[in-house]
Amino acid sequence: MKGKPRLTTFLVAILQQTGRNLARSWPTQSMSLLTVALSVLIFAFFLLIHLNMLAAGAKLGDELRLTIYLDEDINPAMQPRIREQIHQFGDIAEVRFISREQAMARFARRLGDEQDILRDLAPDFLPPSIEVVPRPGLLGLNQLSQLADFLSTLPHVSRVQYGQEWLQHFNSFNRLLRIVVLVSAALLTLNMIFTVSRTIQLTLAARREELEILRLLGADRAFVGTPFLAEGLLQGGLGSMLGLGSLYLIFQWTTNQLAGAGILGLFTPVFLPTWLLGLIIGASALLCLFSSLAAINKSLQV
Amino acid sequence: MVKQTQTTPPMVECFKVGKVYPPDVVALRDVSLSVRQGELVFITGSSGAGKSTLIRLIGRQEKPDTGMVLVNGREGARLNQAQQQRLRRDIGVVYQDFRLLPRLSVSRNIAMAMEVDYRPWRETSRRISELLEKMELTGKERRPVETLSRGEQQRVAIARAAANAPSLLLADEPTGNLDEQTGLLILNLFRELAAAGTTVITATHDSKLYRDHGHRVLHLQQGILQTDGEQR
Repeated sequence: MKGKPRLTTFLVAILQQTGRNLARSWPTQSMSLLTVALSVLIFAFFLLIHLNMLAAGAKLGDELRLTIYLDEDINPAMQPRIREQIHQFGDIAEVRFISREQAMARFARRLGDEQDILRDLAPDFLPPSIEVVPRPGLLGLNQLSQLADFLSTLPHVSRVQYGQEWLQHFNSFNRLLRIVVLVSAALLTLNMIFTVSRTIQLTLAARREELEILRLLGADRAFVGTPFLAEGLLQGGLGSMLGLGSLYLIFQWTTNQLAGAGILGLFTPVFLPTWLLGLIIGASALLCLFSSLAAINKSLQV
Repeated sequence: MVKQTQTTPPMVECFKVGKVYPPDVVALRDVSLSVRQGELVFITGSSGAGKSTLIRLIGRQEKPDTGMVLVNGREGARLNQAQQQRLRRDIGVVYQDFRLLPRLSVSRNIAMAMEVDYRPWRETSRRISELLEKMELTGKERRPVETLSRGEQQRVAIARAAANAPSLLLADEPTGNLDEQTGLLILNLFRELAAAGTTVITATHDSKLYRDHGHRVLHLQQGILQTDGEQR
């Protein structure tokens, strides 16, 4: 009886067999590949939006200000004590006291050429205020809410404003996106398992006669099964590359189209990082490999 | 060339082998025989005598109901799956219905036998050319098997069985669709293989194939081995 084959001979035989299998069943294989690509595209699309929203949120958080409107100006002698009280809360980058006059002057600067409309107003028309700038990264709504509650206890405070509603909506949208990403990841997984294992089972059924002859000729399980595993691996790897490549083209086209638009002034959209692309491709390839393995174990009688 | 002597090890041994098909068709009854390495043996008998059943039992496509079949000193039932697969690769079989893949080319059909044995491509290619020449099929290597005549298909099946120069070659009616001249061509190939050490066991009812050639002939009748010896 003959012994085991050399590794190179084995690999050459498997590659040849895989190539022949692909050449013979390319319509089915192509459909499977496109399905995997589409699934990855949908999942990666939501993931890309989610990650960019998080990045935008972080950037907006860095520029966040809390404005405390006061009933009357705070005596300059009192300011250091109040500043110290605010700093005691922690995570505070800067505290600025804005008098009525400073508020009016800032407003006039914003109006630019149209500042004439302020001519009839008294210079103390606007209320004095304190601007509190949290340290970058202090974005949590709970922390902001706690800080706002604390600031409202300071003397002469009439109102604390920090875009609470907008932040709540933004965070809700991000939570929804996270759920969409998780759901699309689950659907992607199920779709890949189903598509690849079905494709392998169909191919096995279509080649029943050939597999029976191979069995009679003494083909071992590795010779018959490994090409199917390679097909699964290729479908997962190439399919995910195709999906991510398509997403990259869509991303480039969209950012080019929106260049100069207001939304891109807020933040610069970025594509998925390389490590994440590698992770998606690797995970897809492994998922399809295991789907093929399951289909072979179920249907291959060698 | 392997010289046949009493010390040449047996390749095939059957001990009181019996096979009954449902409901109660007795195909073989207490058949005992021994075929040595490098021997060319013909199994003869009328239709239904049990020739094909004996070939299938030796080739491990079926299991005997009683008795024991040893190939190269090993009994099929005692081999694990990997050992059985390795043994199958060392046995070339010419099936009565050829078992070829009709849409594949002549070369591909023959190459399959060598690929499952992990033979290098160059060796496979050289061996295919050699066999096609011997089978007078040169120039038809790229033709799909379904476009060949029955006789040509039979020769492709024989070439596939002989491709790995197996230790044992089993042929079930290998000249059933061939003319006398091509039949002799096949006989010569079998003689060459036997001379190189392959044990060749052929089931046939074509007396021209074995008569006057001095080969060993096992004659079956109603599943019983009637005679065992040279026929001249």
